[in-house]
Amino acid sequence: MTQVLAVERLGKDFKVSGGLLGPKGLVQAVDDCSFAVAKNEVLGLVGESGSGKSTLARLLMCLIRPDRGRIVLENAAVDARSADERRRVLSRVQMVFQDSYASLNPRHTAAAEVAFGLAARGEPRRAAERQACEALALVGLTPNLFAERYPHELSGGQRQRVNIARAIALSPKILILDEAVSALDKSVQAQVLNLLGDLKRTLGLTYLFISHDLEVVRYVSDRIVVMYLGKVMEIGSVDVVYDAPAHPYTKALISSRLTTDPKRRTSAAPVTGDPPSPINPPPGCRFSSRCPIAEPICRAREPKLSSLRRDPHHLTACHAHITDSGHSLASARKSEGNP
Amino acid sequence: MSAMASALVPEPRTLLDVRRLAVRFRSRDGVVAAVQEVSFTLSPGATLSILGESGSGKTMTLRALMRLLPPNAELSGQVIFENSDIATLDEATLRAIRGPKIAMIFQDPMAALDPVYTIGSQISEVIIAHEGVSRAAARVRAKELLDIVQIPSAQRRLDAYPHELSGGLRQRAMIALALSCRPKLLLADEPTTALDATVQIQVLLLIRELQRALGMAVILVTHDMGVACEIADDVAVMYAGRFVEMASIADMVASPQHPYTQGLRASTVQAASRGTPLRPILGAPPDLSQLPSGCAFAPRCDQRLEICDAIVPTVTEAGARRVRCHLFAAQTRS
Repeated sequence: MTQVLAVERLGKDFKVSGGLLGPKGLVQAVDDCSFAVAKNEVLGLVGESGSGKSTLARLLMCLIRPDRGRIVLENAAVDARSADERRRVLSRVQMVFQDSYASLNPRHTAAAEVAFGLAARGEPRRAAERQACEALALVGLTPNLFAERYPHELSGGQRQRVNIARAIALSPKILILDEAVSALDKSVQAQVLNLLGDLKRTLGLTYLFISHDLEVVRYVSDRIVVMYLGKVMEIGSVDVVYDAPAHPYTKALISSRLTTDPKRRTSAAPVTGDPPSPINPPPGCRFSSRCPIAEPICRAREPKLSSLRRDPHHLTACHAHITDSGHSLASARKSEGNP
Repeated sequence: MSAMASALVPEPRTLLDVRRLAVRFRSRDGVVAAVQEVSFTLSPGATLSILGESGSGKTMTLRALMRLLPPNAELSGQVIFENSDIATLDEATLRAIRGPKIAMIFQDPMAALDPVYTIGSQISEVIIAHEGVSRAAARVRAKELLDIVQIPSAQRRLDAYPHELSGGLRQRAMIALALSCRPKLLLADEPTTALDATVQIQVLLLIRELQRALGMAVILVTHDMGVACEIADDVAVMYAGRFVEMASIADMVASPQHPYTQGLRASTVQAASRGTPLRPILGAPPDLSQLPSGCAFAPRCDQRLEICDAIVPTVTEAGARRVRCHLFAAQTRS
């Protein structure tokens, strides 16, 4: 498998000055994140608010600079400080945002919006316009009808199609979809999900699909990364993670999904409380304050993301799964021989 | 059960009886029919979920029940609550109903709570205004309410400002505020939509539990069938301002009858949909100022009959189910 994009121990902090009287602190919005995206794969990224999903997307787009670690795009490390480098990244990594209206220029027609990036990359105007119309046709917007329309003349689903057209017009190696279908109504969401599936097949695209909607992520992704307060908690193939989640947080998240059968309603919440503030998170495992199986080791030492013994492609950051971690549920290295 | 025994069981009392409710907006560009011909009844302690996509009129319906409408809205029809018609009540009487009898919670607690007052003083204010108790007594009640909605360290949170609470706690504080005068009917407008998954289920369970404990009826507006599955007795599906289908939640999930409800289900991503393309409803909802002359769903409907483009379907009743569809009417007749 060819690797398109990888992040290695990536980290980004934000300083928080809580105003005159508020608490000062440091938000480790993304910390020690490592994963890779293979060509033609859909990698799902799930997490609740404050988990660092969007910060990660902005790091990958070079909209902000990482404080630690590195991003590797097509086997070359990205230097986010150089403007040339950022331009190189932007022609290979494109993004679709949640708010379809805010991410379009209200004074650009659909065709002008899509052609803008092509022209900025140096395409002659005519060629840019022609390619823009091709991209609009690809996303199901007939150029004759839609090319000259402004954002306010389009429905939410159509606007999101323009955003997708603008992104794919630049033939990116990877498309970051940050909650790209979350604001759409169900009937329109299904249309856009089908479109994304078609485009992936016909153009051989690679997606990083960020969403809080667990059903949608399951539907589109091959593998998923679960994040909590800036940390990767679990990585694995969708079927494995949904059917046999390893991390207690993933378990809680997956069993928090609402029922589809009114005769079998949820009787108890899988976890209590809210995700804590990402400012000055608890020491040790960041989930320990809500975890049903937390032990002293979890509050003392941060667990490292490690593969499960039964499956090297399934990784989790939980002491209960780390051999000899000191957690009572963890296996010991020489457990067989001991009395 | 014999006929004798069933005659002894009293008819279930009706808490709310809504008849031909309509909300219109008149502007320079024409008339927008946001809600049309909405009729339903609600028993005490029951939960109705109004399900619809954006612009379907679900929030306007909910607000009309309490007459919390923008000034340019025109309300017609009847909203009969405990023998009085909310649609025609004077402001003073209405004020005595809002809060003590009918309360409302919203999607965004940050917008619904006052940012410059503490949680405790906002709840106390309502109790003092409606029940005339002392400030100290109101504060004691406020603390009890925070306990009821399971806010940890309630005594300390009384003095917290809304911005000092997390999203889930703010939502709980707003529920406490709504419950402060023990309403008989709680109107909830997408109360869990903005919450994280692990918090959403907690708040839904809380609403379900409070409803049981307080015997309160709930009307909950949502776009998510999962929310209705967790909490509702009955569901009404709205499209372009009308109730197009109403049934018990079990019937609605097992066998949706209106083509729109069926389409909605086929569009919704479920565990079983993995690996297969979804079957979305084509097109987009109509412009409410230029509704088609027939069924508003006809232009998107894959089971359209000739009559659908000409005449707005009336409600067909089949058992406890009510469907506004020519096809369903024809099938029920035959």
